[in-house]
Amino acid sequence: MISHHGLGFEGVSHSYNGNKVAHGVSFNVGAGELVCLLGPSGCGKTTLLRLAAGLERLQKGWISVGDELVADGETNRSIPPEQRDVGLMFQDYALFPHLTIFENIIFGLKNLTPERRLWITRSLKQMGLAGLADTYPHTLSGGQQQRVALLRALAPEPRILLLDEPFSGLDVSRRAQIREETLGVLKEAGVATLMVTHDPEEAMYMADRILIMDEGRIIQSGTPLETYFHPVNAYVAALFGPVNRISGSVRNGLVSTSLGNFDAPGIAEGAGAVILIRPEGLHLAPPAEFGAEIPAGAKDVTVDSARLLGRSSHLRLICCADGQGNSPVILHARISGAFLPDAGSSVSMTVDRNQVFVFPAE
Amino acid sequence: MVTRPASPVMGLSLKPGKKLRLRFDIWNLGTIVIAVLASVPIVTVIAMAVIPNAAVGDIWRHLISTVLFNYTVTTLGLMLGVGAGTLVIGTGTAWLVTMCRFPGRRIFEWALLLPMAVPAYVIAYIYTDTLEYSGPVQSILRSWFGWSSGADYWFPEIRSLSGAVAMMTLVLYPYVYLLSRVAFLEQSVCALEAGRTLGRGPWRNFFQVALPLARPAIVIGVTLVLMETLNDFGTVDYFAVSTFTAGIFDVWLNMNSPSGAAGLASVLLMFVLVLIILERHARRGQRFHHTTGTYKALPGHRLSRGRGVMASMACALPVLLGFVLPGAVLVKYALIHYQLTLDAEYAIYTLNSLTLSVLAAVVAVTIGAFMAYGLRLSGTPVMKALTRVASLGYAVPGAVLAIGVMIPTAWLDNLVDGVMTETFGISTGLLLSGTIVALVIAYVVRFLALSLGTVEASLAKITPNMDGAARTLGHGPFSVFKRIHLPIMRGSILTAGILVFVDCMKELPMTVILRPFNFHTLATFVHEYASDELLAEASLAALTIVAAGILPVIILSLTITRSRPGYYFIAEAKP
Repeated sequence: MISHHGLGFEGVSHSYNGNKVAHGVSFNVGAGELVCLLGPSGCGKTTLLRLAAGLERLQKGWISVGDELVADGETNRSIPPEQRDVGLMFQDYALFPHLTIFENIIFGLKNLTPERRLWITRSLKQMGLAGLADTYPHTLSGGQQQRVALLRALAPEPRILLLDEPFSGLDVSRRAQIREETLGVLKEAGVATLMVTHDPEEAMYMADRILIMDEGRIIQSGTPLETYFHPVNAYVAALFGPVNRISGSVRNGLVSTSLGNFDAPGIAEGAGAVILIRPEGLHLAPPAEFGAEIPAGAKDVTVDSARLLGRSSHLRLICCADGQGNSPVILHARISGAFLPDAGSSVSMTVDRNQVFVFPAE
Repeated sequence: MVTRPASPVMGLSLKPGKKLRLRFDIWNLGTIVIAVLASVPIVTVIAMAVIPNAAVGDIWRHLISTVLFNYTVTTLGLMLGVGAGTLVIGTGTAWLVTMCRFPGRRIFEWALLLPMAVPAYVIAYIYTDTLEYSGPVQSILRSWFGWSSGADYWFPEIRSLSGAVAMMTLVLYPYVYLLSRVAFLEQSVCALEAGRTLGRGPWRNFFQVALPLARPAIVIGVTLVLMETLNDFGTVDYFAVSTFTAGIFDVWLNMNSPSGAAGLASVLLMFVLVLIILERHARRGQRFHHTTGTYKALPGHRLSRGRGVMASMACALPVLLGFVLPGAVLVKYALIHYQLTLDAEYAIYTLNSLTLSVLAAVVAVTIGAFMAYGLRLSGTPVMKALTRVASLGYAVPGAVLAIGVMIPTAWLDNLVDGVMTETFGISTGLLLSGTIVALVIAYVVRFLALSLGTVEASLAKITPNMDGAARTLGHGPFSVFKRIHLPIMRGSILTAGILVFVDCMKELPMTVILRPFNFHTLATFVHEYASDELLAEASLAALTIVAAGILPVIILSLTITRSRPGYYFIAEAKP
């Protein structure tokens, strides 16, 4: 188990204007660990951050920071935010417009030791903000403001760092670079971090562990690998991007579909099942390429359209129109590189079983 | 897992949370008290007019049979004239200055606000002095054309209803100018360009796209103008135009009938009610009309030389007539006759004006800041409604408020005096009603909206997340107030104070009714002297009022250039 010198939530429930945004949420962020809360906008993620920081009053459950209980819904005990030693970086950065960059960064410091001053100078330099210490926030670009906000939150060396959608305000083109920089700074600081995001790619890139939230509940917790390859339900599977959905029913522990039979562990005999296949789980090869070995279980499908998206190609496929009463199945595939067969041509398709998920029908 | 400790571990009591809740109660309580106190004048006036007793019935019958019809027609005529005049001048000049390029445009941008500095009564005295039979204009005409008396020619009578319309239009159009200019500035150029690409010429674009988009702002501007029109006492009194406000003074001071005055005041309040509803409606409409989108440099139609000159003249005329000319007359008189004004205890009147205005400004800003904070901390619908009630005074004519302040304070004074005389044998006399306390109360009630609005606007720039950031960075609520709120709001608080201060310096109707015996401010001094045809002797005092009035013009022209999205740092700080 993870060490507990980080952040702990136990049975936290919270309502906001009558809407329940958290239902018995429990989790830990260990020392030095970076945990991402992933979920769609408005599912209560930000509220959890505000509860951890003490900006929102806890209603039920309890929250600990390090070995200290900072909020207890039962006794209504709550340490005010300024005594929690928790750093929070807001989505809109919330830099103070009347203070310079340097003044913003030292705002949370009790006293400015030479050592801290050195850290600030070094960090500003590292982040390409060296000459900007005495300028005001409004003169900075969005990316620069983001980095100042991060340094401001880190400067007092908080026990916990909370990041609320730290990259959502940035241009897509700058996002990857700033993400990398931020991760470097966080790992160097070694601070336990809880980050909120709705972008699965961002979560996978940043997180040691991902917590997936839906309607105020944490429905899965795991490494990026686990959440991607072993989603607990269809919702989690679909969170990482669009998927192909095929329904069927279970016979003899198998779901039989026009794409073949799939194991259906744990689903009752005769019950409905839904099969999700990621677009990148469909492998294609031109059938006309004689000599190339056609893998077992390959199926011929018709290309409806093929479009180049840059690094990958998107294909819309028509499958299984066998003229025996089975209606055709439309599938979407994503192949890396340029793979652009003519519309109407035939390709042979295999299914990567690692990217197929079988769940009970809802 | 951390296990829940059975006993308190942290040695930290619950105080912060509890204190927080208690503080909320103080905000709520304070706002309720302020709202109740601020609505006392209005409630008093209505109560006096409608609570049936023998006298009230007689008064109403008397009012209806004699003056009511005349007052209504005159007041409506005045409102119609001033409304139409300010609408045309205000929106026209705002459009020219915002959308077209012509000689002097950058000067007119702020110069068009200058007439705001001149109170309507001051401009009325000056133009009467200039245009009356013995004035310079008619004298010159007579000598040129050899006319010997007024029977030989026709000259418009300035002391008339249309004269009053002209005077008020000249000094009130800046309200419409200001608001429609802000609206034009904030309009997304895309909407205008879309209009152009869809085949609208500049003129049709103005009438079919820009004007409808700015309509809420223009309506607000005109309703504010009409509120000021109803408030005016100096001009209508001097011109003997019988509006409701003039009528209230007549019934109150000459007929000595407080109930009659209250009756007229309550009818006047109905006019005000209509204006408030119009204004509220327009403000609600503003939210939907706000076309957010791409902002970029305004098109700036370059006008041809002939049209450019015409545009310059169109903008120069209101500034000349509303500010330069009257200002020049005042300066001329002041240079010649300043000694007369100084002899007439100018220093004391100035000191009186300053004391009153500073007092009122400090109180109004303190209360305004208090309510703005209350709203920020617990912006419940009830609190919002109470705040609106408390700041309703801006719409109520000074004469009405003055009656509403006079009656309860006098009642309270009598009560206290009676009790004190009975129990201690000491007569306390008039503690409130006969002193400057009543005046300060009236000023604060009338101008509270000004300070509240200004502080509210600057508080809105401090996002709740800034509070949250400061708190998580180890600063308690008081430290956040001191290190974040106060420095950011300092400028706005000063602005709010100056706005209230200047309006108090200019204020006439309430001061006339509520001032202590033999107590003069610059405004009442100028009014009294000018009414006795002694304008020259009071010119230095009038000039002082105008000079003070220029302060808010400077502030406003600075804010307006910053109001365009993308200029101000807050707008840029948004991701």
